[in-house]
Amino acid sequence: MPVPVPVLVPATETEFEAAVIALRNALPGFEDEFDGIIATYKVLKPRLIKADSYYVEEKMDSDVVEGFRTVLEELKEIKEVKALAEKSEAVVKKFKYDMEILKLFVEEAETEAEAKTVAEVKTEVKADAKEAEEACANSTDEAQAEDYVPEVPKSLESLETPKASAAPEAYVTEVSEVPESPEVLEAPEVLEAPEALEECRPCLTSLTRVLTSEIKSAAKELKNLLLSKGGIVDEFVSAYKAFMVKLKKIDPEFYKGNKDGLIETIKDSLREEFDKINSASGKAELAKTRREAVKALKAEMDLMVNLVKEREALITAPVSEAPISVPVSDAPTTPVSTPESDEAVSVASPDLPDLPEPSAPEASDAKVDLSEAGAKSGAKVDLSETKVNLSEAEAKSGDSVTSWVNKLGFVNEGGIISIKSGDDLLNAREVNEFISRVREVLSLLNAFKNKGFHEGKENIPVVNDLIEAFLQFAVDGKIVTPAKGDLFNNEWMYNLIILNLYVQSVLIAKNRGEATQGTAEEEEEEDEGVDLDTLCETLKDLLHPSIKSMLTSRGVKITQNLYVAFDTEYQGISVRKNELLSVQLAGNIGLYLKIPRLYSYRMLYINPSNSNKSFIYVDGDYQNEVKQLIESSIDRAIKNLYKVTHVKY
Amino acid sequence: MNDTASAVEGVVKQDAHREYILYAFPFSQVDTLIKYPKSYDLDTLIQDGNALLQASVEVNNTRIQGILQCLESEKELSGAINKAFSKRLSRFAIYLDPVIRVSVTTERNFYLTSHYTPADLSMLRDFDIFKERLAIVQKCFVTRGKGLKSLKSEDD
Repeated sequence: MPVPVPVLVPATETEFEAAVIALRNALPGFEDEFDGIIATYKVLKPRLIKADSYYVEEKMDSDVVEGFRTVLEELKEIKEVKALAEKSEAVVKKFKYDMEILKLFVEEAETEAEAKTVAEVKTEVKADAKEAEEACANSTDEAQAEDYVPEVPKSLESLETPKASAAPEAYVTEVSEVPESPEVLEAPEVLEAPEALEECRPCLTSLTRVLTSEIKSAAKELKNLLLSKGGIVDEFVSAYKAFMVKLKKIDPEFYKGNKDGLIETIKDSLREEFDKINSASGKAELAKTRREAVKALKAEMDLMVNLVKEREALITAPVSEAPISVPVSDAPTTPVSTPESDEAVSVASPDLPDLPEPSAPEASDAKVDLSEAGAKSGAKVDLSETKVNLSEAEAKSGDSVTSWVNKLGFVNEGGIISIKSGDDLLNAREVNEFISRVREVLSLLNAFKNKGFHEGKENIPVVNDLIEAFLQFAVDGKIVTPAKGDLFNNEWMYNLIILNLYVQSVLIAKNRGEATQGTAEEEEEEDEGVDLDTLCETLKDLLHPSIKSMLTSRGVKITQNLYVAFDTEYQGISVRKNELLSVQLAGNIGLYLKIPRLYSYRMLYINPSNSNKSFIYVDGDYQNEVKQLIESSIDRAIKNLYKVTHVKY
Repeated sequence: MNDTASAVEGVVKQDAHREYILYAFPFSQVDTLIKYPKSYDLDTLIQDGNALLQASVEVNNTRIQGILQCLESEKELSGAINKAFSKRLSRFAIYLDPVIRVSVTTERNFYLTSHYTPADLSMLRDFDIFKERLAIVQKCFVTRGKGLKSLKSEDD
């Protein structure tokens, strides 16, 4: 009996549609965006198939269906609502990015197909002409030579070529002088040359694989070692992706020639930093290499930006600037493709005068796109970042707000205020300044206790009115500010401020500890270390019990309960005494394993007498939105803290 | 880890709680011991109880090792687990990767029960010493809050 051979069955349209519907249902809140992605795919697919015969509809759909199923399985494993939403957003973002890549690839394939058509036409014409010439030369019979009619490619029929009935000599002469003019480039028929196309076609899947696997794995490893500064790696990878896409767009030739080298360079940079950190011995050296790695990554990102600008300058300058209009044939060879055609144009790069800095239309466009995209998608501004618009705040409440903002330890960076990162606060003077500033803020906040008309039930300072003056956040595109006199929000806003300060204090303490451990500074700055620890404890004490309960380190707990039953047999030997005859023991063990869940923060009250927890519910859409926003902000801050505290070093 | 724990036969999974998942493994088999001593004291009772269940503790330790080993495959955990369960309360750490740490807290409780505590416990030779630390609830000797400590270890 023959063994059945497994056959790869391409996805049918039904399977494709089913996979689309299944994934669409698994992405609640992103249906419209997902529909847009599918619509884009459906538009791009026939274009790609037409431009490149390598692609078959069924094969493309199969790949997509496989990708969808993988994502679907990942989504199914996520139980938390919040995590699901974050994952869905990431999935949609990735698909959008894939569509962008696909679009670029389609455009490239179309351009290549067009260029190939011309090359094919030229080659075939030349081959036929040569054949005809040989036939004529070898022929001894003139009549035979006259009867010989070379096959003319179909594409030639539309060109201005001699008729087949013309004399061979004349035909040969005419054909050899087929002008390489733009008119020829517009040959209407596409000639298929699968083998040739196969060689020069950069594969979409390989590009995506390189982007997602090699670089990502290197980035992930480095990120793990960078701990709290790991965000720079994410930033670096996204900058790298944007760089590659942009480079491919503005200068495909350069991209094609240097793609592999660039990928290797990026990968090597990441690996190099990883090795440096890994080989560091001692905490002080470790902290130092980490800081150096961050600097190196930033420098690499600057290099990428500069390279893109350089290429843009080379591409755009010849069109607009006089020096580039130098006759092309006079220049040494450095092939550069122009936007108008893919023909190599020789430009004297060493002799080029200093080109004016391009106005960087790409960069400004990108910014506009980002903000527009953010506004359209209703991106939420996270309160944990605590971004404050200073100018608006000053317009509302005058100079006092500025002083308040400063006292709260925020830093003004280009009109946007955020809590200063604790990464750089390492020396004793800065740490002392930070501690005194936080203490001053706490004493000022305390001044708002028991004053005015508001007196919270837990005697929490009334910070709501202050926050309203300088803190705004967007919920689905709408600007929301906390309502005045809202004691409920006041309590949580106050907790949010304290939590942010606490996270910063812990971060500073940890970084400082890493940097100074084992050095002479450790003993000298012992006081600062103790002050910082005390500040952390003070801030932690001020937090709401529900937040505090999440800050305790949780791990796996294993309990073995040994139950032993004990019995004795005895006999009375007198009124007051018994004699022991035997003891019997029996026992067994109960084993319990407690695995913590990574859950999102939710506002709740904890009963101090019995530790019972009860969730807080509020009425009204506005209140609910604010509540969710505060919850997510507190949750984000706590997760940031986990990244710092739940690590090895 | 959840999968490995769930795969154990007879395990009861309680995932109603928001903060953690609790797995209750099936009880070990009941071991018995009969002795005919002239006299008996609390320390000997605790030692005999522990010795009686030592084999079951080792079986459980192996089971725990199998579950934890899926988190960290490189390092051998049997030594750490055995050491941890030789104490009442202990904690050690395992590493998911070179950076991420998971702390494991182990707890070993010894529960002593009897039919009629005034009769059985009073047969112990050192009852006069430790009876001061017992409370009486519904005519039974019990401990409230912290448990009894071995008298020998207290002396040390």
